[in-house]
Amino acid sequence: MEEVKLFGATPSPFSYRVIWALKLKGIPYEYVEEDLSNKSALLLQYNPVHKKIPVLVHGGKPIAESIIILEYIEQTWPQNPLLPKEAYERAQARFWTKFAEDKSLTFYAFFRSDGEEHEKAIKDALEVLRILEEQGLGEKKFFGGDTVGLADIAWGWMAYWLGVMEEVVGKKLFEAHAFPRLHEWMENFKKVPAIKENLPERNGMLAHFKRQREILIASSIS
Amino acid sequence: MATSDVKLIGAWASPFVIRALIALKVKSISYEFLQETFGSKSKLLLQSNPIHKKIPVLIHADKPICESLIIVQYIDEVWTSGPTILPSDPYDRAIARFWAAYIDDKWFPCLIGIVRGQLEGEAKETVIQQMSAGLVLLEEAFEKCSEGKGYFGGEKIGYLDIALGSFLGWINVTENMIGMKVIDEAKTPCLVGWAERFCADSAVKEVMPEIEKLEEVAKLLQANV
Repeated sequence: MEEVKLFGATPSPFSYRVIWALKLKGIPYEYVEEDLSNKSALLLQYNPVHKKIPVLVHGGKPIAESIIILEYIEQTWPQNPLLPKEAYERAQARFWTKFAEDKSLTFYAFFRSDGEEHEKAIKDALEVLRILEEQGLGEKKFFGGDTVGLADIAWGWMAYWLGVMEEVVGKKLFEAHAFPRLHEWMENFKKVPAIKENLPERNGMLAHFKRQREILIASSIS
Repeated sequence: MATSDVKLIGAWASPFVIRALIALKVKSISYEFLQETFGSKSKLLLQSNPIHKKIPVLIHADKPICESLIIVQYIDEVWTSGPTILPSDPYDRAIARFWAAYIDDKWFPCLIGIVRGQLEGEAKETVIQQMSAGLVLLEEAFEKCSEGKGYFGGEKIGYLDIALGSFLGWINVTENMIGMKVIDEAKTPCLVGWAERFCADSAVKEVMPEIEKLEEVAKLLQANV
Protein backbone atom coordinates (compact mmCIF):
# COMPACT_ATOMS: atom_id res chain seq x y z
CA MET A 1 0.00 0.00 0.00
CA GLU A 2 1.23 3.45 -0.88
CA GLU A 3 2.21 5.82 1.88
CA VAL A 4 -0.52 7.87 3.55
CA LYS A 5 0.33 11.17 5.26
CA LEU A 6 -2.03 13.52 7.03
CA PHE A 7 -1.18 17.17 7.55
CA GLY A 8 -3.28 18.44 10.42
CA ALA A 9 -3.37 20.75 13.40
CA THR A 10 -4.60 19.95 16.89
CA PRO A 11 -7.28 20.84 17.92
CA SER A 12 -8.89 21.50 14.54
CA PRO A 13 -12.12 19.50 14.23
CA PHE A 14 -11.52 19.35 10.44
CA SER A 15 -8.25 17.51 11.12
CA TYR A 16 -10.02 15.07 13.42
CA ARG A 17 -12.64 14.21 10.80
CA VAL A 18 -9.88 12.68 8.71
CA ILE A 19 -8.22 10.98 11.70
CA TRP A 20 -11.55 9.35 12.60
CA ALA A 21 -12.11 8.06 9.07
CA LEU A 22 -8.58 6.63 8.87
CA LYS A 23 -8.95 5.00 12.30
CA LEU A 24 -12.42 3.61 11.58
CA LYS A 25 -11.06 1.92 8.46
CA GLY A 26 -7.81 0.82 10.07
CA ILE A 27 -5.63 2.69 7.59
CA PRO A 28 -2.06 3.26 8.75
CA TYR A 29 -0.80 6.80 8.22
CA GLU A 30 1.89 9.25 9.21
CA TYR A 31 0.65 12.37 10.97
CA VAL A 32 2.33 15.73 10.47
CA GLU A 33 1.37 18.43 12.96
CA GLU A 34 1.30 21.87 11.34
CA ASP A 35 1.89 25.11 13.20
CA LEU A 36 -0.84 27.28 11.67
CA SER A 37 1.02 30.46 12.61
CA ASN A 38 3.99 29.21 10.61
CA LYS A 39 2.75 26.95 7.81
CA SER A 40 5.29 24.60 6.29
CA ALA A 41 6.50 25.02 2.72
CA LEU A 42 5.23 21.51 2.07
CA LEU A 43 1.67 22.36 3.16
CA LEU A 44 1.64 25.46 0.97
CA GLN A 45 2.88 23.32 -1.91
CA TYR A 46 0.20 20.67 -1.32
CA ASN A 47 -2.66 23.14 -0.86
CA PRO A 48 -1.74 26.31 -2.74
CA VAL A 49 -5.37 27.37 -3.28
CA HIS A 50 -6.59 27.42 0.34
CA LYS A 51 -3.30 26.94 2.28
CA LYS A 52 -5.23 25.01 4.93
CA ILE A 53 -5.21 21.78 6.84
CA PRO A 54 -6.20 19.00 6.66
CA VAL A 55 -4.39 17.70 3.59
CA LEU A 56 -4.16 13.99 2.91
CA VAL A 57 -1.23 12.87 0.78
CA HIS A 58 -1.53 9.40 -0.72
CA GLY A 59 1.34 8.07 -2.77
CA GLY A 60 2.64 11.64 -3.04
CA LYS A 61 -0.67 13.05 -4.36
CA PRO A 62 -2.39 15.67 -2.17
CA ILE A 63 -6.12 15.97 -1.47
CA ALA A 64 -7.50 19.00 0.38
CA GLU A 65 -10.83 19.81 2.08
CA SER A 66 -11.94 17.45 4.84
CA ILE A 67 -15.18 16.14 3.32
CA ILE A 68 -13.54 15.62 -0.06
CA ILE A 69 -10.77 13.71 1.74
CA LEU A 70 -13.43 11.57 3.46
CA GLU A 71 -15.09 10.72 0.13
CA TYR A 72 -11.64 9.83 -1.28
CA ILE A 73 -10.88 7.58 1.69
CA GLU A 74 -14.30 5.93 1.32
CA GLN A 75 -13.76 5.16 -2.35
CA THR A 76 -10.13 4.03 -1.98
CA TRP A 77 -10.57 1.88 1.15
CA PRO A 78 -14.09 0.41 1.04
CA GLN A 79 -13.87 -1.59 4.30
CA ASN A 80 -16.07 -0.37 7.17
CA PRO A 81 -18.06 1.81 4.81
CA LEU A 82 -18.97 5.37 5.77
CA LEU A 83 -21.69 5.65 3.14
CA PRO A 84 -24.71 3.37 2.59
CA LYS A 85 -24.96 1.28 -0.59
CA GLU A 86 -28.36 2.58 -1.65
CA ALA A 87 -28.21 5.72 -3.81
CA TYR A 88 -31.05 7.63 -2.12
CA GLU A 89 -29.60 6.99 1.34
CA ARG A 90 -26.20 8.13 0.06
CA ALA A 91 -27.79 11.34 -1.18
CA GLN A 92 -29.32 11.85 2.27
CA ALA A 93 -25.96 11.25 3.97
CA ARG A 94 -24.35 13.79 1.61
CA PHE A 95 -27.17 16.26 2.28
CA TRP A 96 -26.60 16.20 6.06
CA THR A 97 -22.84 16.31 5.54
CA LYS A 98 -23.18 19.42 3.38
CA PHE A 99 -25.52 20.91 5.99
CA ALA A 100 -22.69 20.52 8.52
CA GLU A 101 -20.30 22.33 6.17
CA ASP A 102 -22.75 25.12 5.41
CA LYS A 103 -23.54 25.72 9.09
CA SER A 104 -20.00 25.68 10.48
CA LEU A 105 -19.84 29.45 9.98
CA THR A 106 -22.89 29.86 12.23
CA PHE A 107 -21.18 28.09 15.11
CA TYR A 108 -17.93 29.92 14.36
CA ALA A 109 -19.88 33.18 14.65
CA PHE A 110 -21.14 32.02 18.06
CA PHE A 111 -17.53 31.43 19.07
CA ARG A 112 -15.85 34.56 17.74
CA SER A 113 -18.36 37.35 18.21
CA ASP A 114 -20.10 39.29 20.91
CA GLY A 115 -22.93 41.80 21.10
CA GLU A 116 -25.63 41.81 18.45
CA GLU A 117 -23.77 39.49 16.07
CA HIS A 118 -23.42 36.99 18.91
CA GLU A 119 -27.14 37.13 19.70
CA LYS A 120 -27.96 36.43 16.05
CA ALA A 121 -25.47 33.54 15.97
CA ILE A 122 -27.15 31.99 19.02
CA LYS A 123 -30.54 32.20 17.35
CA ASP A 124 -29.20 30.69 14.09
CA ALA A 125 -27.32 27.93 15.91
CA LEU A 126 -30.39 26.91 17.93
CA GLU A 127 -32.34 26.66 14.69
CA VAL A 128 -29.69 24.33 13.25
CA LEU A 129 -29.85 22.17 16.38
CA ARG A 130 -33.64 22.07 16.10
CA ILE A 131 -33.45 20.91 12.47
CA LEU A 132 -30.94 18.19 13.36
CA GLU A 133 -33.01 17.05 16.32
CA GLU A 134 -36.28 16.86 14.45
CA GLN A 135 -35.29 16.01 10.90
CA GLY A 136 -31.71 14.81 10.86
CA LEU A 137 -31.45 11.74 13.01
CA GLY A 138 -34.97 10.38 12.98
CA GLU A 139 -35.07 7.21 15.03
CA LYS A 140 -31.55 6.16 14.07
CA LYS A 141 -28.67 5.75 16.48
CA PHE A 142 -26.31 7.49 14.07
CA PHE A 143 -26.87 9.48 10.89
CA GLY A 144 -25.31 6.44 9.22
CA GLY A 145 -27.77 4.03 10.87
CA ASP A 146 -26.28 1.48 13.26
CA THR A 147 -22.72 2.54 12.59
CA VAL A 148 -20.91 5.85 12.24
CA GLY A 149 -21.11 7.33 8.75
CA LEU A 150 -20.01 10.37 6.78
CA ALA A 151 -22.58 12.73 8.31
CA ASP A 152 -21.73 11.58 11.85
CA ILE A 153 -18.09 12.40 11.22
CA ALA A 154 -19.06 15.77 9.70
CA TRP A 155 -21.14 16.67 12.79
CA GLY A 156 -18.84 14.86 15.24
CA TRP A 157 -17.17 18.09 16.38
CA MET A 158 -20.42 18.95 18.12
CA ALA A 159 -20.11 15.99 20.49
CA TYR A 160 -16.91 17.33 22.01
CA TRP A 161 -15.86 20.75 20.69
CA LEU A 162 -19.19 22.46 21.36
CA GLY A 163 -18.90 22.01 25.12
CA VAL A 164 -15.45 23.60 25.09
CA MET A 165 -16.68 26.48 22.92
CA GLU A 166 -19.60 27.08 25.30
CA GLU A 167 -17.24 27.16 28.28
CA VAL A 168 -14.93 29.65 26.56
CA VAL A 169 -17.79 31.87 25.39
CA GLY A 170 -19.48 31.56 28.80
CA LYS A 171 -22.83 30.71 27.26
CA LYS A 172 -24.70 27.43 27.07
CA LEU A 173 -26.17 26.72 23.65
CA PHE A 174 -27.00 23.06 23.93
CA GLU A 175 -29.27 21.75 26.69
CA ALA A 176 -29.68 17.97 26.78
CA HIS A 177 -33.34 18.18 27.79
CA ALA A 178 -34.13 20.47 24.83
CA PHE A 179 -32.41 18.16 22.31
CA PRO A 180 -32.70 14.62 23.72
CA ARG A 181 -32.02 12.79 20.45
CA LEU A 182 -28.94 14.87 19.71
CA HIS A 183 -27.74 14.41 23.25
CA GLU A 184 -28.01 10.63 22.97
CA TRP A 185 -26.27 10.77 19.57
CA MET A 186 -23.38 12.75 21.11
CA GLU A 187 -22.96 10.23 23.91
CA ASN A 188 -23.06 7.29 21.50
CA PHE A 189 -20.59 8.98 19.14
CA LYS A 190 -18.05 9.56 21.89
CA LYS A 191 -18.31 5.90 22.96
CA VAL A 192 -17.15 4.57 19.57
CA PRO A 193 -13.57 3.36 20.24
CA ALA A 194 -12.04 4.97 17.12
CA ILE A 195 -13.53 8.29 18.24
CA LYS A 196 -13.01 7.94 21.99
CA GLU A 197 -9.32 7.15 21.52
CA ASN A 198 -8.86 10.07 19.12
CA LEU A 199 -10.01 13.24 20.80
CA PRO A 200 -7.79 16.20 21.69
CA GLU A 201 -6.89 16.74 25.33
CA ARG A 202 -9.55 18.97 26.84
CA ASN A 203 -7.47 21.36 28.94
CA GLY A 204 -5.17 22.11 26.06
CA MET A 205 -8.19 22.71 23.86
CA LEU A 206 -9.74 25.04 26.41
CA ALA A 207 -6.57 27.13 26.67
CA HIS A 208 -6.21 27.24 22.89
CA PHE A 209 -9.79 28.35 22.27
CA LYS A 210 -9.65 30.92 25.07
CA ARG A 211 -6.65 32.51 23.36
CA GLN A 212 -8.37 32.31 19.97
CA ARG A 213 -11.53 34.00 21.16
CA GLU A 214 -9.58 36.80 22.83
CA ILE A 215 -7.71 37.47 19.60
CA LEU A 216 -10.88 37.36 17.50
CA ILE A 217 -12.89 39.65 19.80
CA ALA A 218 -10.00 42.11 20.01
CA SER A 219 -9.61 42.22 16.23
CA SER A 220 -13.32 42.82 15.70
CA ILE A 221 -13.26 45.81 18.04
CA SER A 222 -10.31 47.56 16.33
CA MET B 1 -38.83 4.45 -16.77
CA ALA B 2 -42.06 6.47 -16.84
CA THR B 3 -41.63 10.23 -17.29
CA SER B 4 -43.68 10.90 -14.14
CA ASP B 5 -41.19 8.84 -12.13
CA VAL B 6 -38.59 11.63 -12.46
CA LYS B 7 -39.45 15.25 -11.79
CA LEU B 8 -37.18 18.26 -11.48
CA ILE B 9 -38.37 21.32 -9.59
CA GLY B 10 -36.47 24.32 -10.86
CA ALA B 11 -36.21 27.46 -12.94
CA TRP B 12 -34.71 27.56 -16.44
CA ALA B 13 -32.42 30.48 -15.57
CA SER B 14 -30.74 28.97 -12.51
CA PRO B 15 -27.24 27.62 -13.14
CA PHE B 16 -27.76 25.14 -10.30
CA VAL B 17 -30.89 23.82 -12.00
CA ILE B 18 -29.01 23.71 -15.33
CA ARG B 19 -26.51 21.34 -13.69
CA ALA B 20 -29.28 18.86 -12.92
CA LEU B 21 -30.81 19.28 -16.39
CA ILE B 22 -27.49 18.56 -18.11
CA ALA B 23 -26.97 15.44 -15.98
CA LEU B 24 -30.46 14.20 -16.92
CA LYS B 25 -29.73 14.89 -20.60
CA VAL B 26 -26.33 13.13 -20.45
CA LYS B 27 -28.10 9.99 -19.25
CA SER B 28 -31.07 10.44 -21.62
CA ILE B 29 -33.49 10.34 -18.70
CA SER B 30 -37.10 11.36 -19.35
CA TYR B 31 -38.32 13.81 -16.78
CA GLU B 32 -41.04 16.29 -16.02
CA PHE B 33 -39.84 19.84 -15.42
CA LEU B 34 -41.79 21.74 -12.79
CA GLN B 35 -41.04 25.41 -13.36
CA GLU B 36 -41.07 27.61 -10.27
CA THR B 37 -42.39 31.16 -10.63
CA PHE B 38 -39.84 33.88 -9.99
CA GLY B 39 -40.47 35.49 -6.62
CA SER B 40 -42.60 32.72 -5.12
CA LYS B 41 -42.12 29.15 -3.95
CA SER B 42 -44.56 26.34 -4.70
CA LYS B 43 -46.05 24.12 -2.01
CA LEU B 44 -44.30 21.15 -3.57
CA LEU B 45 -40.92 22.88 -3.32
CA LEU B 46 -41.45 23.85 0.33
CA GLN B 47 -42.58 20.30 1.08
CA SER B 48 -39.69 18.67 -0.82
CA ASN B 49 -36.94 20.94 0.50
CA PRO B 50 -38.25 22.23 3.84
CA ILE B 51 -34.80 23.05 5.22
CA HIS B 52 -33.38 25.19 2.42
CA LYS B 53 -36.52 25.89 0.35
CA LYS B 54 -34.31 26.07 -2.75
CA ILE B 55 -34.16 24.73 -6.27
CA PRO B 56 -33.19 22.39 -7.83
CA VAL B 57 -34.97 19.46 -6.23
CA LEU B 58 -35.02 16.13 -8.04
CA ILE B 59 -37.98 13.94 -7.21
CA HIS B 60 -37.42 10.29 -8.10
CA ALA B 61 -40.16 7.79 -7.30
CA ASP B 62 -41.65 10.44 -4.98
CA LYS B 63 -38.42 10.87 -2.99
CA PRO B 64 -36.75 14.30 -3.01
CA ILE B 65 -33.04 14.90 -3.51
CA CYS B 66 -31.70 18.41 -2.88
CA GLU B 67 -28.47 20.32 -3.65
CA SER B 68 -27.36 20.48 -7.30
CA LEU B 69 -24.08 18.57 -6.96
CA ILE B 70 -25.68 15.91 -4.78
CA ILE B 71 -28.37 15.54 -7.46
CA VAL B 72 -25.71 15.15 -10.19
CA GLN B 73 -23.95 12.46 -8.14
CA TYR B 74 -27.25 10.70 -7.45
CA ILE B 75 -28.14 10.68 -11.15
CA ASP B 76 -24.70 9.24 -11.96
CA GLU B 77 -25.05 6.49 -9.35
CA VAL B 78 -28.61 5.45 -10.23
CA TRP B 79 -28.52 5.52 -14.05
CA THR B 80 -25.44 3.40 -14.66
CA SER B 81 -26.19 2.45 -18.27
CA GLY B 82 -25.54 5.96 -19.56
CA PRO B 83 -22.16 7.72 -19.91
CA THR B 84 -20.41 8.21 -16.57
CA ILE B 85 -20.33 11.69 -15.08
CA LEU B 86 -17.93 11.45 -12.14
CA PRO B 87 -14.36 10.32 -12.90
CA SER B 88 -13.82 6.67 -11.99
CA ASP B 89 -10.33 7.16 -10.56
CA PRO B 90 -10.58 8.19 -6.87
CA TYR B 91 -7.90 10.87 -7.15
CA ASP B 92 -9.40 12.40 -10.31
CA ARG B 93 -12.77 12.32 -8.58
CA ALA B 94 -11.35 14.14 -5.55
CA ILE B 95 -9.84 16.83 -7.81
CA ALA B 96 -13.16 17.26 -9.65
CA ARG B 97 -14.96 17.60 -6.30
CA PHE B 98 -12.35 20.06 -5.05
CA TRP B 99 -12.85 22.43 -7.98
CA ALA B 100 -16.63 22.07 -7.90
CA ALA B 101 -16.56 23.07 -4.22
CA TYR B 102 -14.23 25.96 -5.06
CA ILE B 103 -16.66 27.16 -7.71
CA ASP B 104 -19.60 27.11 -5.30
CA ASP B 105 -17.84 28.42 -2.17
CA LYS B 106 -15.34 30.95 -3.51
CA TRP B 107 -16.11 31.82 -7.10
CA PHE B 108 -19.91 31.95 -7.32
CA PRO B 109 -20.26 34.64 -4.59
CA CYS B 110 -18.14 36.93 -6.80
CA LEU B 111 -20.34 36.29 -9.83
CA ILE B 112 -23.61 36.87 -8.00
CA GLY B 113 -22.12 39.96 -6.34
CA ILE B 114 -21.53 41.51 -9.76
CA VAL B 115 -24.86 40.39 -11.23
CA ARG B 116 -26.84 41.92 -8.35
CA GLY B 117 -25.48 45.29 -9.47
CA GLN B 118 -25.04 46.74 -5.96
CA LEU B 119 -21.25 46.94 -6.04
CA GLU B 120 -19.42 50.13 -6.99
CA GLY B 121 -15.92 51.54 -7.33
CA GLU B 122 -13.09 49.72 -5.58
CA ALA B 123 -15.35 47.05 -4.09
CA LYS B 124 -16.62 46.17 -7.55
CA GLU B 125 -13.09 46.12 -8.98
CA THR B 126 -11.91 43.77 -6.23
CA VAL B 127 -14.74 41.33 -6.86
CA ILE B 128 -14.16 41.40 -10.64
CA GLN B 129 -10.49 40.66 -10.04
CA GLN B 130 -11.32 37.79 -7.69
CA MET B 131 -13.70 36.31 -10.24
CA SER B 132 -11.07 36.59 -12.99
CA ALA B 133 -8.36 35.12 -10.78
CA GLY B 134 -10.64 32.19 -10.02
CA LEU B 135 -11.06 31.50 -13.72
CA VAL B 136 -7.28 31.54 -14.18
CA LEU B 137 -7.05 28.86 -11.47
CA LEU B 138 -9.73 26.88 -13.30
CA GLU B 139 -7.75 27.29 -16.54
CA GLU B 140 -4.78 25.62 -14.78
CA ALA B 141 -7.08 22.93 -13.43
CA PHE B 142 -8.38 22.34 -16.95
CA GLU B 143 -4.85 21.84 -18.27
CA LYS B 144 -4.25 19.17 -15.61
CA CYS B 145 -7.65 17.43 -15.67
CA SER B 146 -8.25 17.33 -19.42
CA GLU B 147 -4.94 15.58 -20.19
CA GLY B 148 -4.92 17.18 -23.61
CA LYS B 149 -8.53 16.30 -24.39
CA GLY B 150 -11.51 18.62 -24.82
CA TYR B 151 -13.17 18.61 -21.41
CA PHE B 152 -12.35 18.66 -17.70
CA GLY B 153 -13.71 15.11 -17.84
CA GLY B 154 -11.38 14.18 -20.69
CA GLU B 155 -13.06 12.87 -23.86
CA LYS B 156 -16.56 13.81 -22.77
CA ILE B 157 -18.26 16.18 -20.39
CA GLY B 158 -18.07 15.20 -16.74
CA TYR B 159 -18.80 16.44 -13.24
CA LEU B 160 -16.52 19.47 -13.29
CA ASP B 161 -17.57 20.46 -16.83
CA ILE B 162 -21.16 20.48 -15.59
CA ALA B 163 -20.28 22.28 -12.34
CA LEU B 164 -18.61 25.18 -14.18
CA GLY B 165 -20.31 25.02 -17.57
CA SER B 166 -23.72 25.65 -16.06
CA PHE B 167 -22.52 29.21 -15.36
CA LEU B 168 -21.43 30.03 -18.93
CA GLY B 169 -24.61 31.92 -19.80
CA TRP B 170 -24.31 34.00 -16.63
CA ILE B 171 -20.60 34.57 -17.27
CA ASN B 172 -21.59 36.10 -20.62
CA VAL B 173 -24.16 38.32 -18.90
CA THR B 174 -21.51 39.45 -16.42
CA GLU B 175 -19.01 40.18 -19.20
CA ASN B 176 -21.59 42.40 -20.89
CA MET B 177 -22.29 44.17 -17.60
CA ILE B 178 -18.65 44.95 -16.82
CA GLY B 179 -17.59 45.50 -20.43
CA MET B 180 -14.74 43.03 -20.19
CA LYS B 181 -14.17 39.37 -21.04
CA VAL B 182 -13.28 37.10 -18.10
CA ILE B 183 -12.88 34.02 -20.30
CA ASP B 184 -10.50 35.25 -23.00
CA GLU B 185 -7.64 34.16 -25.24
CA ALA B 186 -5.06 36.07 -23.25
CA LYS B 187 -5.71 34.72 -19.75
CA THR B 188 -7.78 31.56 -20.22
CA PRO B 189 -7.20 30.23 -23.74
CA CYS B 190 -8.13 26.62 -22.93
CA LEU B 191 -11.40 27.70 -21.34
CA VAL B 192 -12.33 29.66 -24.48
CA GLY B 193 -12.27 26.49 -26.58
CA TRP B 194 -13.83 24.44 -23.79
CA ALA B 195 -16.74 26.89 -23.43
CA GLU B 196 -17.61 26.62 -27.12
CA ARG B 197 -17.38 22.83 -27.06
CA PHE B 198 -19.45 22.59 -23.89
CA CYS B 199 -22.27 24.80 -25.16
CA ALA B 200 -22.39 22.86 -28.44
CA ASP B 201 -22.71 19.50 -26.64
CA SER B 202 -26.03 17.77 -27.27
CA ALA B 203 -26.72 17.42 -23.55
CA VAL B 204 -26.19 21.15 -23.02
CA LYS B 205 -27.58 22.92 -26.12
CA GLU B 206 -31.25 22.50 -25.22
CA VAL B 207 -30.96 23.60 -21.62
CA MET B 208 -28.53 26.53 -21.86
CA PRO B 209 -30.65 29.71 -21.83
CA GLU B 210 -30.16 32.54 -24.32
CA ILE B 211 -28.14 35.51 -23.07
CA GLU B 212 -30.91 38.01 -23.84
CA LYS B 213 -33.34 36.07 -21.65
CA LEU B 214 -30.78 35.86 -18.82
CA GLU B 215 -30.22 39.61 -19.07
CA GLU B 216 -33.92 40.13 -18.41
CA VAL B 217 -33.64 37.94 -15.32
CA ALA B 218 -30.57 39.94 -14.22
CA LYS B 219 -32.70 43.09 -14.31
CA LEU B 220 -35.30 41.40 -12.07
CA LEU B 221 -32.58 40.33 -9.61
CA GLN B 222 -31.19 43.87 -9.52
CA ALA B 223 -34.62 45.34 -8.90
CA ASN B 224 -35.36 42.84 -6.14
CA VAL B 225 -32.34 43.58 -3.94
